[in-house]
Amino acid sequence: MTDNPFDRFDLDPLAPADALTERLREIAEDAADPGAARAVWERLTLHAHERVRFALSTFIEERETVASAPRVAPSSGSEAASGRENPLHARPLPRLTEGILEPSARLDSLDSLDEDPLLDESNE
Amino acid sequence: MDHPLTPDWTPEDERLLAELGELEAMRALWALAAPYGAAPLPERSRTLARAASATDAGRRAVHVAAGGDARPFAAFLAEVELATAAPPLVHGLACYLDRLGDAFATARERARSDDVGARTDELAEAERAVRARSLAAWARLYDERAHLVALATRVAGDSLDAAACARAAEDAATSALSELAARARGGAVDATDDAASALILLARVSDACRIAGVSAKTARHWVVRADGARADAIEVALLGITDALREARQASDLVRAAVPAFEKARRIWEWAGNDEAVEKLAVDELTTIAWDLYRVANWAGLRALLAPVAALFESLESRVLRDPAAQLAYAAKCAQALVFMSEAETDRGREWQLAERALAICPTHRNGRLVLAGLCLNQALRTLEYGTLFSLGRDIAAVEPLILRAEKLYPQSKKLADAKKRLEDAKRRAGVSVSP
Repeated sequence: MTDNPFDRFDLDPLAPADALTERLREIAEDAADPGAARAVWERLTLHAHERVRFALSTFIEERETVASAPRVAPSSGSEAASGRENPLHARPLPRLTEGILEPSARLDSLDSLDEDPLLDESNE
Repeated sequence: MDHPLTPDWTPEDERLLAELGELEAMRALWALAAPYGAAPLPERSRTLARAASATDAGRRAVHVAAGGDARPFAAFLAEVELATAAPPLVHGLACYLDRLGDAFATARERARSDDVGARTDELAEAERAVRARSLAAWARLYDERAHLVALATRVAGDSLDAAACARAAEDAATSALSELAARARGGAVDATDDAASALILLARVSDACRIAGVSAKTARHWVVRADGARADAIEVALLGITDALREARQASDLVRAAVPAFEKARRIWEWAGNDEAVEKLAVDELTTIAWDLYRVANWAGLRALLAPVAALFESLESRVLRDPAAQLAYAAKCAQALVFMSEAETDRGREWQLAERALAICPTHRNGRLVLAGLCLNQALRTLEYGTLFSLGRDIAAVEPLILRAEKLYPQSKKLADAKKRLEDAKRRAGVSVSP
């Protein structure tokens, strides 16, 4: 059975140890039972061999994605050390949603469901 | 880059759209392939769709899947040639198949707890099929090495040196093997279905290596590990049997004490997918105990003892016939087991057949020759005793080769002289010349 901590806590397998620590600390703070997050933290950050083994056993985004902001907040200097770039810092946010999925624009254009012809029984 | 949706369409927008498509493709694939109620894949699984999109066929399949129809994508993945595919695709596929295997395992356990037997078997078979392909994918990555080592180096950063990174990459590739070994050993004492499934998969490692097109060195390494894990689990399962049989020999009722141990051996043999090691242990153990019963002519006891393990001996017999050189050490033992089966048999036809089979796998087996010679002479004597004047010619023709065969098989047979004498008497009565 694959019980991969990177999947269980939705961690980035390429994140450096200090970033994993930060993310797992956040998870532990919000968790009813912080023990699980702590156990994973020990496994991933104190045992580099284990971290690599688990990381290689799951899907790895070898490039930064546009769709999701990095789930693990990198510590200062760690990006340069890992050779990876945080798109949130380096580039403006993608503009795909602007004008298309802008909440106010979408909601304003919707008619009231009360007037929806499909719900109008007299049309049946 | 312009796009009909917006006049200021950027490369980032294009990439985001592609990523969303990859994600949708993976969701559609999972909805199609995974059993009901399976936990969703992590979003990072889109790397598989991305790797598949590196080829034209894959890109088309992913595009269609993003629209909701994952069948071409599933077919594309099923047909990926592991031996030649790009390592990122093989890696994504291996991770996907691992999670699909887990999903089938979870569904199988749910079906078992709901007591839906047929569905349980179906899910177990689906899990094995998926895991067998996953093993092949990991074997390929282990063999290719460079992809996993490069990733390991990126993940480890400064925390591991190059040699340690390579070891971690190796461990990641062989994790599936290690998990199967742990599952097989963990369920060995109780001979669980899950452990049986793991044993079947370990036995398929050789096929997985062939499918993955790995080097002979990698294949040897993987097969040795898998065979070792199988042997280890089976040894754990068999632990109690030898002790139980040793105690049985001291018991007042040998048969009553020994039969449950042989019944357990039969269950372990079935659990282990008709494993050869179990057959050999059974034949070793049976020979010792069976002689005790044979000496006191306890045929009913011998029959009771043989009944649970007869199938094991027949399987071992087939192995000896298939590869006599490799099974040389067990040919005589297996022949002896068949002789015991012949001796304990109440049906005359099967009794004869079993003795013939004993000599087929070990032509020089003394007891086999003795028993078959005895059967030939008994048959000859019966024929002559119950023959009539009208059947005399036919009887002589039938009996003569039987006596000749008995003499050739075992010249010291006690009934040989009597049979020869009766044959001569019959010939005289029939007016046939008697050889000196």
